[in-house]
Amino acid sequence: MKPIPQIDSASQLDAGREAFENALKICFFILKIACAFVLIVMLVGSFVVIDQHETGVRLRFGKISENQKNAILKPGMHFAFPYPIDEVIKISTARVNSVSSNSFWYALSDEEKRTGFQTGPLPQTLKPGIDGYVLSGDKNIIHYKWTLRYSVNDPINYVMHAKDPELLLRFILENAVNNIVSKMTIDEAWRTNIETLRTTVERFVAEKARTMKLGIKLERINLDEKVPPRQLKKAFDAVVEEELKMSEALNKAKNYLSKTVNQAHANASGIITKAESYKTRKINNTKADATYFNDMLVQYKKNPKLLKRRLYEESITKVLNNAEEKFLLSKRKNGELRILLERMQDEKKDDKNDKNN
Amino acid sequence: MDTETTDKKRNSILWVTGLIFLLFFIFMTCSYQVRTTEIAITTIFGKTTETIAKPGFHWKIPWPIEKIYKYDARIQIFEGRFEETYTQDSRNLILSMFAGWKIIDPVLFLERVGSIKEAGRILEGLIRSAKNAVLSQHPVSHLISTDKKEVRFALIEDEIIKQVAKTTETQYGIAVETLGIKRIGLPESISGNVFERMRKERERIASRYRAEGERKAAEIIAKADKEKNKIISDAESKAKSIRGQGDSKAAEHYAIFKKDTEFALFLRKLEALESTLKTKSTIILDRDTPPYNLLKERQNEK
Repeated sequence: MKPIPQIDSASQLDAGREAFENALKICFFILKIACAFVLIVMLVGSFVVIDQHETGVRLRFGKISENQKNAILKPGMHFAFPYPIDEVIKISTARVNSVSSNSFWYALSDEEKRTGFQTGPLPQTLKPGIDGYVLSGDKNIIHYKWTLRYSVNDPINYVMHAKDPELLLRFILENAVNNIVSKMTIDEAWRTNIETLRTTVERFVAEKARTMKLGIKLERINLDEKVPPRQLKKAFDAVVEEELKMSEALNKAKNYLSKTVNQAHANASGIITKAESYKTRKINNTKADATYFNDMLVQYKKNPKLLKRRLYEESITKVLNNAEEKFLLSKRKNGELRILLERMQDEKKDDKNDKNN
Repeated sequence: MDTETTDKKRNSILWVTGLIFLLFFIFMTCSYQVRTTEIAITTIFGKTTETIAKPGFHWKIPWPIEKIYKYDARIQIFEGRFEETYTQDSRNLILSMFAGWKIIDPVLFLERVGSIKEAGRILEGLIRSAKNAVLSQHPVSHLISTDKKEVRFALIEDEIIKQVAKTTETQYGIAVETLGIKRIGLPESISGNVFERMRKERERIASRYRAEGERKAAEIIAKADKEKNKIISDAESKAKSIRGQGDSKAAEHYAIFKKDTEFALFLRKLEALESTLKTKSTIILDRDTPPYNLLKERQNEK
């Protein structure tokens, strides 16, 4: 800056000099404003606001303070020196971020992308690098879509260790999927062992992120979609259908089994109960008979003939009372005498007449 | 207030401002910072002096005497292209690799590589040749197999990483932090055959399920019938023995009938008569049978 010239001799100055002076004045004024502006910016810039979901990492001269308290800024307003002394990196620690991997999905034609439906004939081959897929252990092709969700749990490591942690995570995930599916059969990797696959991939990625000190916490890895090649959909569906039918048939057979066995047990216990009741009845009857016999024997001894006759007649009476039809035959003369004593409405019983001598 | 004091004041402000700017300029040219995420080296007249500068604030001799080279010290990602690779059993697979690497020796890196971009090119070549070399030692089944003991996925990656790291660490100042197979594919011409094979396999599995379902169901039904028969016959034999017990217990009471066998038999006959002719029977009797013989007698009397 040049010193401002004397203004005493202003009268002798020509117009040019006056103009120069004015220009200088204006320059000086602008400079002052600029200084003030820089000062204000520096002052305002010294305050850093960390949002509720964020954590700040303060670098002083580019270095993270050894004292964690100084380095980590919790949500709220903080003072930080302006550049080039301090730098605050804000990291969204409370939020869960997600990385999705569509690398194992088939390529869609433009029309398919637009309409969302499969149109036209399917390509009969898969182009490497364009159509993504994973090879299962039995050398079958399978398509996947995966999503990885993580949050930052160690902001310092997160800042320090990887340039693009998200991309790295995605590659690790894809590596894990290849690694694990390469040992599985297509049926395991597609249907029957999905949860094992998912958790194994999850463990694999979490372990890798831990050893590489990426400063992230793996929240969850999701297997969003899993399909065998579109070209073979029918064949795969047919297998599922047959499997369903098989399990249906098996269920039916199992039902039959349990029903039959239950019924058999019921029948068996019926048979046994019957036998038991036969046993008791038999014993009781015999006992009763014996007692009856014993009682009657006394009478019998007194007059055997009379008692026998009386008992016989009692029996006959009882029998005849119960009988439906009775016929009396006489050998007198050569004819047959038929006496109808009583007859029920049943006509069928007539057949039995033939049984005579 | 006269103009002289104003001028003086103005002058001093200018001087101070100028001084501050000057100091700031000197400060800026004579110092540098290394961020936590960076690694740096300094050279004086092109010769390396201090190999690795720690993160933080440092002084230096102004440019062009002392120069600072700073590199990102974080893990960089290398993404390989799809390339056909032959395995030991001469199958061709199409692999894509990725690697996470970082600069560990900036001096070497500055001398031999120079930039991150160039490092990518070097890594691409190294990884390709290491991958080809390692895979030519392994059959396909070491990468893909349902036999878990056969698969050496991680081992293959490990071998590649070792081969790559051997060169990068000693010659380029680069450490390979991680390396892996990102994608495995088959040549396009083979994928059609794979589809055909997969389709046949599905058909086979479907028919197997069908046959298996029928067979298993038949087995279960046969088993059910067998079980049922066994339960029933067991129950019957048990019932028989129970009845036998009943009979033998009952027989104990028969002893008393010996007192008068004839009478006992007579009673039995009566009982049999009553029980066999209980209901709905048709009885044809001779007139001589008591009590109907009474009728006969009466006729005789006439």
